Amino acid sequence: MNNGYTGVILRVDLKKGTVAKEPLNWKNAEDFVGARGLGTKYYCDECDPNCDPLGPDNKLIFMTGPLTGTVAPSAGRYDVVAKSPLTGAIGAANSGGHFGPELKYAGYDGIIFENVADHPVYLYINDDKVELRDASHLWGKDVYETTDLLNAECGESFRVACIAPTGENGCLFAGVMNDKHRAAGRGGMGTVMGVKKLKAVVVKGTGSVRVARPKEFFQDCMDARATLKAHPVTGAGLSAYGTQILVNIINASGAMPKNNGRDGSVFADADDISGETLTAKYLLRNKGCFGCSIGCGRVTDIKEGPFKSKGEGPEYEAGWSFGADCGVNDLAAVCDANFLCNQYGIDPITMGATIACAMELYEMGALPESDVGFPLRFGDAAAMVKCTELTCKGEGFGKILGLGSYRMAEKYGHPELSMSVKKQEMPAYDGRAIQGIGLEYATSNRGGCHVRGYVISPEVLGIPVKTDPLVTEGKAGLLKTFQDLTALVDSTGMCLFTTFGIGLPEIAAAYRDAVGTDESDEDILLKGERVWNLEKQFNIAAGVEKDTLPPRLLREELPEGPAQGKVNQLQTMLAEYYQVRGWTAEGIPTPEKLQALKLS
Amino acid sequence: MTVRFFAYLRDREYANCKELETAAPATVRALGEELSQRFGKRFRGEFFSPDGAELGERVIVMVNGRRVEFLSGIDTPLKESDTVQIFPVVAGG
Repeated sequence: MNNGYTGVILRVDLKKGTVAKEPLNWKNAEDFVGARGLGTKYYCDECDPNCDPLGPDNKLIFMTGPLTGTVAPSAGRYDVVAKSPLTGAIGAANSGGHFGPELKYAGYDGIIFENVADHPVYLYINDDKVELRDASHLWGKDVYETTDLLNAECGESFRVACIAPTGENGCLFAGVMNDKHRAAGRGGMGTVMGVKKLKAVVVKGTGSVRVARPKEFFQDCMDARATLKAHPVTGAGLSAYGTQILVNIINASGAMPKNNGRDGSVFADADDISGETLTAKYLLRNKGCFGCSIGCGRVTDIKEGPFKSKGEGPEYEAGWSFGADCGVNDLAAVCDANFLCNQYGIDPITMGATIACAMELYEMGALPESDVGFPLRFGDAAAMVKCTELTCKGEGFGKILGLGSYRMAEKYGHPELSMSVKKQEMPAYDGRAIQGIGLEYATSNRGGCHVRGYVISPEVLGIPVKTDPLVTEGKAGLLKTFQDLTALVDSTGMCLFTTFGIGLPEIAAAYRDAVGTDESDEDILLKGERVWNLEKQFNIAAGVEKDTLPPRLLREELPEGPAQGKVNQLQTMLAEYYQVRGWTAEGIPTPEKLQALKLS
Repeated sequence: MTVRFFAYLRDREYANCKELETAAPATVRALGEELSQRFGKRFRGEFFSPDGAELGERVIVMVNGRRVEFLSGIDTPLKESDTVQIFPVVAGG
């Protein structure tokens, strides 16, 4: 029985122009759940880890989870998986909105794209009817234009996932955008899509998702929804203020990197770019994805001034990257830059952090003004927005910014000033002030990332337990649990934000009753650990660099704030981390561990 | 000393301000009592647990950016040069 799954995978050969339907690999679905885990398993089984991420052999996989499209809370997510052109590591980026559920209602768990088309195409899916169509008229169009044109062409009820010119023109951190404003944003999955000349996927489905034990499943989901509704974060705080609410508390903790982290992590003007200010000045309303009662999305409008614009967001990470990291205290400029990222389909974390790196290079004299075309000092809001615009349009200095901070800083002789891990920019929390998040950045399988193991939750927010951000003891074990649980949640198709209010027992119960298994909570969590180790195996085979942090976090003491004098104590934590993972001291999964996880 | 309020604790029903200056009480507990006297029952309900003995579950109190749980809890001593930050429980990412 296809409980939780449709049982069908689409395989699209872009070179031949063919579409085939094949049965889902049930064994893999059982072991790797779905979405991030199952997509990665398909990828690892079918692709050479040493393939060129910008070449024809890098497959691109869209994959939903068994809970995607069901009444499980906030279960509207899908993953896009490929080898990342930014990092060379396994790339998996997930997104909300409504695209994932629609794909399942059309009858497909996922889509595997192979090879490269000889002209721009899009994939049209209308239940059983699936075909590649010419997209020459869409090439060069931004996300909003592409979505509107496809809705006019195919029908308003179709859901659209697409790329913008950034994905077509070699920007290494282009994302896949769906429902206009939602992004599978990190690691350049849109860049891979552009290489394949695949402009978009449009889908409409009229089916539903079958579950094994409907009555029990419905009760699981209603109980979980009630818990989320009653929780102060998922029931009130996130809907009222969005993720930007974090600005003040992270800044108060001395952990919001300022000026590329050069000048510490206390931003004097933090309140000017906070969720409170966003709500008071620019918020029109909040917005939720499919089946979500949290509604953390922001619909915002800058009605006047030099940064007059309208769109969705920003999230906390973009608020930081275009704000404090660039020394910018103008929230309208931050919003404008963020809207540009949505319209042109790029990752705002990497974008803002790359501009911040360029500002530091400029101020130290390593980046000549003639290369940029204008002065580029920290705090210059107009220059920050201009850099974003140039990158979005692939013009002038934007072509260099589009390579990401590592390649740019290397070009100008200072790769150590790229605040990245495995060439992907770290987000909005300073690993010197919050020790565990530094370990997370170093060990994240997709490079610098916070949402592979969001230990900010216990280290700053006190959810579900309170741990001191300045100590290293116990952080390795805590992080492993968070990473494994996150891999599981991502693989089910649920949103990670549900874990602010519910945990493994609720998620495992929904999974059990959806797919019809009697596995224990621990057995189900083990699937998350299996996904993590599979990703690690891929990265080792692909020759991805070792787990470390930029020298700044390891050697430059914070100059002020509650973490004054601190650096990240990575080596202490890393040794313990490898131990609790059952890996060698060099960070290699042991044969015993792989056997225990059924990965050998 | 300086006391800063965040999110809905800035609203009229609670502190009705972003920030205030006050003479430093002896401890965080004493500060909570003083602020509850000033702002009323709703603020007290957020700041203290139902029995009034501990901090409430919906509040985060920091002294100079350190959660009081990692100092001396609700009995953390205060001095004139301190900044106390009071947040409702928040999250994001």
